Amino acid sequence: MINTRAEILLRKRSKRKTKSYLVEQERVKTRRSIISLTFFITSIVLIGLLSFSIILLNFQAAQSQLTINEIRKEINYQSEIKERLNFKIAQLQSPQRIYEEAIVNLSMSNPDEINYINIDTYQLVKQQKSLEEDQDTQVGSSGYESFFNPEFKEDIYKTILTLLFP
Amino acid sequence: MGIIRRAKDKFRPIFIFLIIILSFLILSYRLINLQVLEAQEYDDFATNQHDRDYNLFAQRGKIYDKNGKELALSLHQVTLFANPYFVKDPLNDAIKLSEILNMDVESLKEKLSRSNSGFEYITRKISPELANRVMELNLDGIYSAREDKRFYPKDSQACHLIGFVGLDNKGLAGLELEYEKQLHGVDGKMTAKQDGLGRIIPGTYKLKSDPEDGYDVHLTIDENIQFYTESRLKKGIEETVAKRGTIIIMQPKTGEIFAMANYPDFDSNGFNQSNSDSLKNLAISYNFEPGSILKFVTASSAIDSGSISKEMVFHLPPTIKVGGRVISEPFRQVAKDYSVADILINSANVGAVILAQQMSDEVYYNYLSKFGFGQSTGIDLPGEEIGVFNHYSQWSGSSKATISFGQGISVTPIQLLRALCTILNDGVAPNPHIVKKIYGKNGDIDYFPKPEIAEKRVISSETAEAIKSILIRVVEEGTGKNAKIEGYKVGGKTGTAQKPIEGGRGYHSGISITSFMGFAPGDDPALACIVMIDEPSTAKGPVWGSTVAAPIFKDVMSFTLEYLRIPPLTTDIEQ
Repeated sequence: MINTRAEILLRKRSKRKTKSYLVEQERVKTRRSIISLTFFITSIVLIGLLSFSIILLNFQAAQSQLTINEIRKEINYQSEIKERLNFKIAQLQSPQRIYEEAIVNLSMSNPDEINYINIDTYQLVKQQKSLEEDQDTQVGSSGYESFFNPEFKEDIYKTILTLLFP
Repeated sequence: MGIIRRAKDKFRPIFIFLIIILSFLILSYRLINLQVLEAQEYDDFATNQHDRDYNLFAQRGKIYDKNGKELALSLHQVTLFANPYFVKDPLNDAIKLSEILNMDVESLKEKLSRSNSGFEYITRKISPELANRVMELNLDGIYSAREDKRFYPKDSQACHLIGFVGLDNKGLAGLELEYEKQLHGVDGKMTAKQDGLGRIIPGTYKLKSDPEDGYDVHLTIDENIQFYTESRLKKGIEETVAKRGTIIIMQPKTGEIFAMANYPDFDSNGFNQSNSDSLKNLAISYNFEPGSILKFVTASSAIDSGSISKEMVFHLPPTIKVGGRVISEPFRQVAKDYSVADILINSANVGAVILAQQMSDEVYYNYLSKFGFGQSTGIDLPGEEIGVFNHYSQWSGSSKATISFGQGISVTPIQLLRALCTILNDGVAPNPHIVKKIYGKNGDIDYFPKPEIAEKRVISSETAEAIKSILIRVVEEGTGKNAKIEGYKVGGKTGTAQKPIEGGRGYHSGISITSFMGFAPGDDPALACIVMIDEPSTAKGPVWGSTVAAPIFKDVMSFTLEYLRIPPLTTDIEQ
């Protein structure tokens, strides 16, 4: 009997153990399914996000392309306007038109006489240099400064005028 | 019966199997045929059906004068075309189109009714504004395409030089033809897919190659000199009721041409409305017997060959008989002693004959050839004539004598001017040219004038100097007095040539070609110019190079000297 009772106790214990094992197994299963579900949902969300970003990027790219196309059109349009204006300017700059405008509307005429003045540049430079040297010795300043001296300037002008209209 | 049924039952699956195998083989053959054997053909067929090729037109380069002023440019225009298959109401559409385009309704209706035709031009190269008005009508089967149109802002100015292009934007004359390759550029290619109705599927455009725009051509011509030259030529021709005329201004040392004017002229924007005679560039393609203007070449040849010295004096009778032909002086009735200079100063025909007689036929022929007669000058313009200049072996007894004073030889104005510039360039023949540079769109230089004919020495610099001095005396003391410019030393030679009877023998009595060719400033010439007026007539009586062409030369040369700020040389002032 004792043996039997002991056996019964053992059986009860083992039953309890089995039950707790099964409960534990169930818990593990539930946990696993929750993890799988979470992973699945996360994946779906990530894939969704990724797809959405791709669509968004494509949308933005398409929009940018449209903007580029618009700008290109505008550039072409402005270039055409520029070319037309160039053409108009070229027409207006035509010597024939200018000549007719000058003669008819502005009552201009060709000059009767054209005079050429022969300037001896060598003499002019020589004289200018000697004047600069004189100025340097008198004022003691550099030639660059002396050029801006009103008196010196006046001398130069006088010299040039003398050379031009002797 | 049982045996037969059993046999049937036995062969039925074999038979079915064979049929399947056969079908499979037929299908395989067809598949191989479609995918391998005739694949390319079907692929091309599909491509032709679905893909449409487009030309991306390259923009034609511009033509500028030497100061960067535009002489020719291209603008975007619109071409309207129709696919009559899609046109629903040809009459109604034709009426609507004709109101905007100002075109004949009947001809439009006829075009739009050709339902078998897939393409009909309605009108080409109209303004975008006008095209927009048409496109706003939203007519079925009416389409538009962009095309470039060539415009010449200065209308008829330098028309013979610049030339013109056809509807397809290809050069047909002048520089537009000569530099077609550089100006045109390379058209780009693009493809797009189309649906069953021939509509473009958006987003299927595929660029095959980008268009490469044409290069810009910069000329040696100055538009202001060109304008004045053309105006003065026109005035001169109208005053003398002449048939035609030409003027060329050239820089003797470089061969750069500053102006090349011809009359009659034409409007480059409407060249198809001009008569064919006015399209000819006389400066390079008009062959004429030059007359006395050629005498300086005879004198140069005689001196340079050593046949005579420049100091020699000749006893000249008023007439001379050569090869059975009597050559006489137009003014002189008595015999006189003339030096070489006197012969040119007084433009003595007999003198020129005697100078030529001092040389052998071969020597004289060689000199004329070296001066460039009977050959192209190599100028960068199409349609240059070479004149008529026979080999000395074909000369008659009087040929050398007549050629000496400019008869029996045909030359072009550009050949004559080049011969004069040879004298002014110390005896070396320059290369006349119109184009200075050709620039690519990114500023790279594609072309510098590389003449086909190399510069060559024709006569010694001593002979050139001697002839130059004589030509100055021609203007100071001789027949060229009307070309004198106050303050400048000017040199030159007149020419009055009788016109030969076309298709007959001999010369017209009262019809002539007058010319003058000269240079300034005297000792160091910066400019050389030739004026040729064909068949002038004045109320004052006979016409001469000195009375018709020399005054035009004087005006043109004065203007150009003033415009280019070329002052008289010190030697001119001393004079």
